[in-house]
Amino acid sequence: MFFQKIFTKPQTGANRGRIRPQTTEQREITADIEANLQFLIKEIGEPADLVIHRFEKDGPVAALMYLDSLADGSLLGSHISRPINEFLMKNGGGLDLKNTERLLTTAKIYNYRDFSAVIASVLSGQAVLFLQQQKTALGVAFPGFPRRAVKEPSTEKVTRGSREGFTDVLTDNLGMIRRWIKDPNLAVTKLAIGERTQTEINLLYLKDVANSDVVKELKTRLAKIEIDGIIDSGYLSELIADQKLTFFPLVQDTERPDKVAAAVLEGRVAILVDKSPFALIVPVTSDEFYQTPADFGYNYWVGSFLRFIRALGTFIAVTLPGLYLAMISVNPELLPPGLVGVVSSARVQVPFPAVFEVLLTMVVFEIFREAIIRAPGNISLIFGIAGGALIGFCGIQAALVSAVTVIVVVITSLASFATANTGKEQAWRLVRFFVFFAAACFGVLGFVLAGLTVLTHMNSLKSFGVSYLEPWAPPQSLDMADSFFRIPWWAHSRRPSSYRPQQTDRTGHKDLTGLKDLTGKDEPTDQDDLTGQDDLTGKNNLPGQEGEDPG
Amino acid sequence: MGRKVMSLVVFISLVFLSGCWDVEEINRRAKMDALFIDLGENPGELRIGGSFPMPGSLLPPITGTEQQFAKRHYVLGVSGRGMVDAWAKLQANVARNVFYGQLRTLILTERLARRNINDLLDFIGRIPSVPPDITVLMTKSDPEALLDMKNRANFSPGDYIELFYQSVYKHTQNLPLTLWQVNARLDNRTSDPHLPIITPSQGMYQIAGTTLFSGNRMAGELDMHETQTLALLTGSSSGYLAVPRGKDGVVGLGEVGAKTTIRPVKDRAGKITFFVTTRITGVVWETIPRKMELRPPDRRRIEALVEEFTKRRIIKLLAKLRQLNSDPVGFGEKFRIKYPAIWEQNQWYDIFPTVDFKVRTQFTIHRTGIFR
Amino acid sequence: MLPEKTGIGSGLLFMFVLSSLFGFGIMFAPQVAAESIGGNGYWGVVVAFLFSLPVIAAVVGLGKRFPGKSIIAYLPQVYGKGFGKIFGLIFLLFLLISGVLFLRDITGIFASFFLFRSPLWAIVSIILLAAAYPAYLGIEVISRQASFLFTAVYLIITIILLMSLQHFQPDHIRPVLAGNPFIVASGGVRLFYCYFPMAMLFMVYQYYTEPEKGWKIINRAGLVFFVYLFLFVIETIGVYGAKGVLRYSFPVLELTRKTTIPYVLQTFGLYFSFVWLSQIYITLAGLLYTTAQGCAEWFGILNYKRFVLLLLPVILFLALSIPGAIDLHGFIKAFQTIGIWVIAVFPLITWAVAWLFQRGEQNGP
Repeated sequence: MFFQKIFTKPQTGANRGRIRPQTTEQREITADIEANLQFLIKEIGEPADLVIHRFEKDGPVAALMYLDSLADGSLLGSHISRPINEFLMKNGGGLDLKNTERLLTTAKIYNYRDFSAVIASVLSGQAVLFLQQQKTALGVAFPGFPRRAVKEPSTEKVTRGSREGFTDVLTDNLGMIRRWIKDPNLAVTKLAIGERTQTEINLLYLKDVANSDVVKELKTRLAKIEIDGIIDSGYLSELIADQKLTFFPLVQDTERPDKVAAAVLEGRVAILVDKSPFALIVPVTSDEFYQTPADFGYNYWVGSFLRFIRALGTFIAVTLPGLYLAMISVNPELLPPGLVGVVSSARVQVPFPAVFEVLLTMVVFEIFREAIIRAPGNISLIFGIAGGALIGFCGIQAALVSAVTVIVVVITSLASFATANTGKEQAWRLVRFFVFFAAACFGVLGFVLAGLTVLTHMNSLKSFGVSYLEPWAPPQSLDMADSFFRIPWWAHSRRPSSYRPQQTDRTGHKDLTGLKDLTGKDEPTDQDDLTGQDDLTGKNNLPGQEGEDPG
Repeated sequence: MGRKVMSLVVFISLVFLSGCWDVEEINRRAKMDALFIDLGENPGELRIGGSFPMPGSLLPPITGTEQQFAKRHYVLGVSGRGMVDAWAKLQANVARNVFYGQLRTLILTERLARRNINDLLDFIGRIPSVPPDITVLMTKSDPEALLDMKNRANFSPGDYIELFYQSVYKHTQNLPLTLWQVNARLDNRTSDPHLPIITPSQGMYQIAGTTLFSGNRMAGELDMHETQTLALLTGSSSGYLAVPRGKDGVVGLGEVGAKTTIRPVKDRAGKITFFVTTRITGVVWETIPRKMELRPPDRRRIEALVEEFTKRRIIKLLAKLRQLNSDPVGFGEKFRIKYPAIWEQNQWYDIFPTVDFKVRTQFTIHRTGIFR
Repeated sequence: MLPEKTGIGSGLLFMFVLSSLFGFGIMFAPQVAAESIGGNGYWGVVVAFLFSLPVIAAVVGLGKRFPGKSIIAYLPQVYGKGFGKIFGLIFLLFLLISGVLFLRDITGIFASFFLFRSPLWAIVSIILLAAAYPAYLGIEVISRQASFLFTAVYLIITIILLMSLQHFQPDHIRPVLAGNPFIVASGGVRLFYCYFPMAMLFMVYQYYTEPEKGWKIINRAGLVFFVYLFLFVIETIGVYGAKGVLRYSFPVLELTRKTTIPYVLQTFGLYFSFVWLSQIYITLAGLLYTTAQGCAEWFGILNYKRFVLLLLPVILFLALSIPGAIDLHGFIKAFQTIGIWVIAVFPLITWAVAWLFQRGEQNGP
């Protein structure tokens, strides 16, 4: 495509292929500490936070090197410096690799033999210990960088459900998921992407459930990425999407660990990115953006109603301005007479054409929305009142806009928050304008054709081989019912077939005939209870065992 | 790759292919809510016009302001040779563009209806912006004055008539037909149209009684009581019926429902007889002289009274219809179903005046009001 | 990339057939039925449905005999190279003309009901462009579109069907069992035009992934369409009477236009035109796609997408070159007669010839 060619034209001349940092060539660590340190300082410069601690006993014995900003100095002191110093005091030397490893009171010690690995580990927060006369350096991790506490997610609040949200630290996030899924089949694959940032990325999926083609494809796509750095998971979601030229999100992002855990249980693959509180989930269908954990917290009738309201809200948010415009400026014969009277009377003094009037109001509201995010907390309240109430009211009084238009635009703005995902909601925001302009030109005909065009576009999308509008297109009758209603758990025996999981069954019926006495001594312990729950949800976790059809 | 160019092209063309030829704001259209058609002063001329609600006056009024009491519509009328000519002149008399999409009613005058309504209604039916379900009425007075009157409720005439017909209790008194129904009757010729009569009364509109048509010409009219009888035959429900009882007495029935079966029979001589059986139900609301409690003998007496009364009325009505050669009930339809071969050969308007009717009525008291 | 699922499954085929039939056939059928048969024109619909069965059989039979091939590809195999190419061209022309006439016909509705002053070329262009988009993306997207819309569209259509029973007069459709069987049969033949989109199946069937179910699935779609068509014809004649229907150019739209819920919904016509537009979108996209695909195969070029773009100005030109509504009706009448030969008779003959001369796969039926 022509513009892709323009944007992705490779650099020529001297700048060619300068994505990678100018890194060290593969060089082995030498037996001389001072030489090693000098080489390293030459390689990484002498950053302000670099700390080098030399242990000496009749000449250099060992040297500890770390970045103050990433490693915890006091922990290093008590777990590394103190035992080494005590050893030296007692024995007066004789530190070799074996007894040093015994001295360090930490669970995991890494061994490095070349400098590039040492540099990478230092830059990611490890402390590296060089020993005299040893060609192996030891790495230990005592992370000391700041981390955020686990808080309720701000973009995906629910009234019923877990209150945990992802933080910015990958290991914490992984821990949150692991607390849900205690299954040996939970694969956690580690990757590092970003030539300069070396951002750690974890893929999470159930080995015996997730579709292996999807996992393979995801790994291929990730391996193809060549970029200087990954600052947020948003970078990745754009880079691994199937279609580049679409505004619909083809990768789901979420701040909620419970959503990720549920997705993994459905047989999808989650991508956790270090330093990003948003996890990615693939593949995704359009329906996913309308489901929240609250659906499952409440009774299934309530859950179904909530889903319906979300779908309705989205429909209103996308179509209302367009429909309103088509009705009042091109096809008013379609409105009931009373409504025509009211709307036309309200517009009598408005000097602008309806298109301009509605567009103006919409744009003003969009600007408000964007401005309020930036405004400091207490001012945003004033903004809200000043913007929403005053300007709206005065605009009507001054006959610049009609009251009905303001109502339509406000309802549209409110309804747009019914979509349970911000990325999807932003996409709908664009579609709203498209539909609006089409309706402005061709009334109802333009409105419908624009809607159909958007639908066609959505139909042409795929997320990792899964049609975006599945289960509606291609039709999957069971999932279709589940996307419209929230099917209760006791009737929900299959995983969504849209994602083509290896194991399709997810609920079974336990056979209790073998148990002697349910109320007596054999009362299951806590441990049993847990496994029992596991059995209900992630049935047949043992590898090699195939799920059985309960019916 | 290419599909993205395509999507872009579609997107751009949909947005910028805008001529916006049809954009005309709702408040910049002169919304007509009632249309009248009359004969013009000079031969060959038609006079048409309509009422236009005043823009801006339809919001909920601020109490006490002039807006609350001022008349909310104005009426224009023009003459022209043929509909299109008059139509064009009407456009010339309005500041904005006349908009027929919200038309609620069409009023014809008697002298026009006595000529030929088919051509006119065909013309209006051809205009796609005119809704097909507008009510067609007939007036004997000057239609322009009729519409121009500021009725006491201060409704614009179109709204008045629409509101009027939302009540089903009013249907049996004047039997309204919508434009498409009138057109369908004129096309099929298995029954004749009938139009309610609208007259000004006490500062409001009285819509009662109906005009009868024979084909596309008005043939006569029925008063409100005759119309109620006709409603029994056409099967309308929820009517009223007052049956005289003795010298001063009366039995007043409400929620009168009726179901009529019509069976045509042709004998050997070719004489056609329609067996008309009407089953009526109703609620006794009023009995004069008053009865504390209606007992079985009362019931029999009342039922017999109503049966006799309605039978007499129906026979009288049928005689009138036959005499006017007008078939609003749909005897022709029944005849066509039973004898399709004869229907296709003959002209129904030649047969109808010669048919016989055998009427039977049956009445059941449904309830007796809230008393025992 | 994952291996793309090329081809359409049973669900998608069903939706595609149903939607394209509905879009093509429903609007004008009551008028044709009332005109050619009269009060009980609905029997013509039954006859037309019966006529469609052999066509489905031909689609499935030829599909079995020449798996993975469209009619353009196997015609030369059946009739020899020269005749095969000529017949293929005729078939293609038929698809093209049906697209043009259909487009022009539906444009009339929008020009007369919704956009009174917009010039014809603008309306034709936007409808054509909008339909070209899915056609460009291919049969999979078209059928998925049909499938996505299915639930909502047919729910709304059913509601409209029920609501439009207002003022239904059973007397208008009586007597049920009267009328000349010959007239009914000939009316049924005329009504067979509703099934013309089946022509697309000769092009599309090659992508069907479960050919063993073909007969069942296509029949099921045809049956569902038949039920809707039958009900709409009964309802329209029942409401307007056989002669009353003849007044209207777009009887089904009129039927829904007169249906109201006072104070809430001025007319159901709007909703019907919404859902109907979504169906003609499928039909038109299907016709465009199959024509482009056929052209590509006829010329022996792999990619049909260029042909979609090439066909756009051709169709636009042809659609606009029809001078007026009266000429259009003449063309449509002629086309309805010719179409029967192309859609029904010609494939059956082809099937018979293929069977006689043992062309294609020998284990075919």
